[in-house]
Amino acid sequence: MIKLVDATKKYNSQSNEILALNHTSMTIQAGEMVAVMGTSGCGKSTLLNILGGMDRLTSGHYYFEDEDIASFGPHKLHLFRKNHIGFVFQNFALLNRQTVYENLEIPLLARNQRHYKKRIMDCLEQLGLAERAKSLPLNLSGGQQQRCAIGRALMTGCSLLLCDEPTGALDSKTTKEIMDLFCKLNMEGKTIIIATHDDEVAKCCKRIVRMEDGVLQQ
Amino acid sequence: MNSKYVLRIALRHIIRPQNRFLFSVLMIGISIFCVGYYRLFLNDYEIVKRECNAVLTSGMAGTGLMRMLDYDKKEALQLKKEAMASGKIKGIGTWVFGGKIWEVDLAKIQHTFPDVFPDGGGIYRDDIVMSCFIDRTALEICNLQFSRQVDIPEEKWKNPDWQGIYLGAEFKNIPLGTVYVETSKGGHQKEYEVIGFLEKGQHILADEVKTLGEGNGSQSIVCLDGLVMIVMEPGVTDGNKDTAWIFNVSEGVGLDEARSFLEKRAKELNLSVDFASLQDGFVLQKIYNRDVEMVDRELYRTLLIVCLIVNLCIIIMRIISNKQIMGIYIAFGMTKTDVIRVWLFQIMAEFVAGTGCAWLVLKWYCNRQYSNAGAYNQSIFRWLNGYALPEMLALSTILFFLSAVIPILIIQNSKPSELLLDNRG
Ligand SMILES: Nc1ncnc2c1ncn2[C@@H]1O[C@H](COP(=O)(O)OP(=O)(O)OP(=O)(O)O)[C@@H](O)[C@H]1O
Ligand SMILES: [Mg+2]
Repeated sequence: MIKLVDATKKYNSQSNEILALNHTSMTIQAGEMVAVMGTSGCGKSTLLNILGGMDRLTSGHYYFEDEDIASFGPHKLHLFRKNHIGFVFQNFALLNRQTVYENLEIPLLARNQRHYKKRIMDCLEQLGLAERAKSLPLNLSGGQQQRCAIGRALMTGCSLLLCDEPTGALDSKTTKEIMDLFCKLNMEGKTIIIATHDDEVAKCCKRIVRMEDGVLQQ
Repeated sequence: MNSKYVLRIALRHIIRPQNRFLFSVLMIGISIFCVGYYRLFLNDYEIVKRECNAVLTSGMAGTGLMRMLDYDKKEALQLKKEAMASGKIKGIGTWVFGGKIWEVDLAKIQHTFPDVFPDGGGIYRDDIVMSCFIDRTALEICNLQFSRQVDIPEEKWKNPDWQGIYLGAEFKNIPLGTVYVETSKGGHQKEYEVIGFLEKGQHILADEVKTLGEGNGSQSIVCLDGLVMIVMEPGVTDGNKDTAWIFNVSEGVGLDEARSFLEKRAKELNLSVDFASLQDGFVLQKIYNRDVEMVDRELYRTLLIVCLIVNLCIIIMRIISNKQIMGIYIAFGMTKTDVIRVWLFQIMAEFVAGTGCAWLVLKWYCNRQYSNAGAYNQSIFRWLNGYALPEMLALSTILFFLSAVIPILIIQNSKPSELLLDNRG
């Protein structure tokens, strides 16, 4: 499903160049649940941004279902994101001035969906957030915020779920809950990639990919 | 994304108090109000000039004013005749602002105003209906138009016990031909007959034009809608007042030439006169105002620039602090165009609301400030609609485009991941 070939991502910050991805390659099959592990600054977020079409490779190829995403223009990239990708960002990245319900509504509005109320409420029910539908994210606990972020990613109807430190701010009990949720989603057929430096999280995944200074080691 | 959804999201940005929509509206409103308000001072002089020109048949350059102090001498009439005969002057008219109406019967006209009642002592509120004595030539020079009028045979005009009156448009309920009778102490009766109605919204030069340069030029035009005009025969003067003469020059004759002719003849006839030309008045006024005007213009310019900069800074700061939100929208399936549309709807609402508020406040302020100012009130509102409103709209449009363009450039030139990145800062 995913194939990175000789992928390189260079950042030019001030004088020095940073190779966040350094001529690295990787393959992930559909339906896998993969943990990408590595120290802080090794390039995990960069990798997820590339995989999610939020950013482009400096050189190399990224094949998604045999299409070379690296060659896509902005509009095709937008369509790729819209049709395939769900994000759970580091630090949640919720819209703090919109309610939980409205946060979940965004992907649906962006896709011009209609009659989605029940779908959102079902999802919130499943995530245990039904009562907080009208709350603002800032009034939720960390775990609830994370579940809200996951709910929003699920609303996209994505086939590939990219999670950046989904449990970074959570205690071990909540972490467990969230990971169970991911496992369940994986069973339902979603491909999931989780960037983390938490061993507990990695253990729940079927496969662990280590990353070091922009290089993936399978 | 369809427009309905774009609107829905924009509306979310607008109605949440945390989004400082009101703050933006306030800033835009204040800026635009200030600019409109300063226009108020700046335009005074120009309004009067424009309006004076508009109410005269031959414009300001061809119209002169003269104050005849010896109005009751027969030489005054002779001067008039000679001036006309000289060919330099096309017409000389006389008009006097009579103030409130004192003829007892005629004062009943006040009953026709729905909101005017006699006070407890049976005395009518006296500053409501103003009268004006004017002769037929002055009517012409001042370019007055009538909506209804009856033909009066010449011999009737000659009758000293009869006087025709023209009524302003507000008196339209009084039937044409109504006769008011004034009985003097000696039992002598004089008739005032309504012989016509003036077209609505007309103006005439006020008495004060004589002293332009000393007083406030803005008061120089009087709206006739609520005025009673008592028509005099040329040469007949009231006897209580100085008389203002208004004259227009024949074609090809300069105002100065006509004026020096009149001056010379008046001296020879031993008449005491004062001259004022509207032009001179305005030149004087202009000198008097020049410093004030310079300061005003400077202030206006500064205000305009400050207003532009402040608003732009606020808008740019807002777009920068909202970059993350835009990144999120893009990550979850919107295009950059969708995000830009949300932004445009949002600031459009801010500008419409801000400009609307500024306009309402300015209008309210002028209403409050000038509602008793009679003629000035009229010209203020004409100014408001004719100059302030377009200017405020233009300013708000320019600001809107600047506020739209810069964020659009920011969005267009950022990678989605960069937009998102700003959340970490
Ligand atoms: N927009 C950017 N401009 C310049 N350098 C960047 C940018 N984004 C990331 N980097 C650099 O690229 C490297 C990888 O960053 P990245 O965010 O991918 O790390 P990470 O593995 O996600 O770290 P963490 O676990 O702390 O989130 C870092 O050295 C970082 O400083
Ligand atoms: Mg990271």
